[in-house]
Amino acid sequence: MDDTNDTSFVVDEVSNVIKESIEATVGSQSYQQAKINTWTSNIVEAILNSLTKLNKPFKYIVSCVIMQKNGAGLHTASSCFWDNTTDGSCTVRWENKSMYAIVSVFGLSI
Amino acid sequence: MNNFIVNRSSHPFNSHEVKQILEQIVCPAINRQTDYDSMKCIQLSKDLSQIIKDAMKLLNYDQYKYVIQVVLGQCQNENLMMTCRCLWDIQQDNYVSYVYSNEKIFCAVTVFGLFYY
Repeated sequence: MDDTNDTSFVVDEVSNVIKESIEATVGSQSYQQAKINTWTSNIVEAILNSLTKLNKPFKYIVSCVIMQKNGAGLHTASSCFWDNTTDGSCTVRWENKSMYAIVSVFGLSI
Repeated sequence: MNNFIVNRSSHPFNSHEVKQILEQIVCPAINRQTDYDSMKCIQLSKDLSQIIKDAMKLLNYDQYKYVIQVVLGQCQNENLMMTCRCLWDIQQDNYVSYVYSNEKIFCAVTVFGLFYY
């Protein structure tokens, strides 16, 4: 049991990391054009740092989309060619009154 | 003493080639849509990601895993920002990003190629 925890992608753990990072960066702020670049970079970098600290033999891809709430529709899809037993992904959709944030993390074992 | 000898791919990821493939797949697919339709776009985003994944497999890059991300949205003068960061092997891994839009729909596709040792 311990072995699989160290070498496979644990979705719950990563999901918590993502949520904490979004809350800490954007929390209850309103959409601001000037800050959006900093926000996306901070969210993504914070998540990557936390994932690195987990010390697992994984390569990570973290992607963040922040969109202003405007009534427009948005769809995201991903497809992967990897090893299903060890690799995994986690996508978190978050929103507040003025914007949406969609963060995806992909973990691929070495 | 540990000697970590890392393999090199015999057919490495070629960004230029992948970008051309993306253009050939994405442009006609988006232009075929006459208007933004929520239900059609759900299916279109999934289909695009599968088609691109299959095209990547045909390229036969040696020992690579792929992650393809497709973001499709309605053009309604909203602002959108997409960022990504990766923890990987800078000498072997790479990504290609392609954005295409017409007046009704925009599409951003990112393909990541990661070397598997």
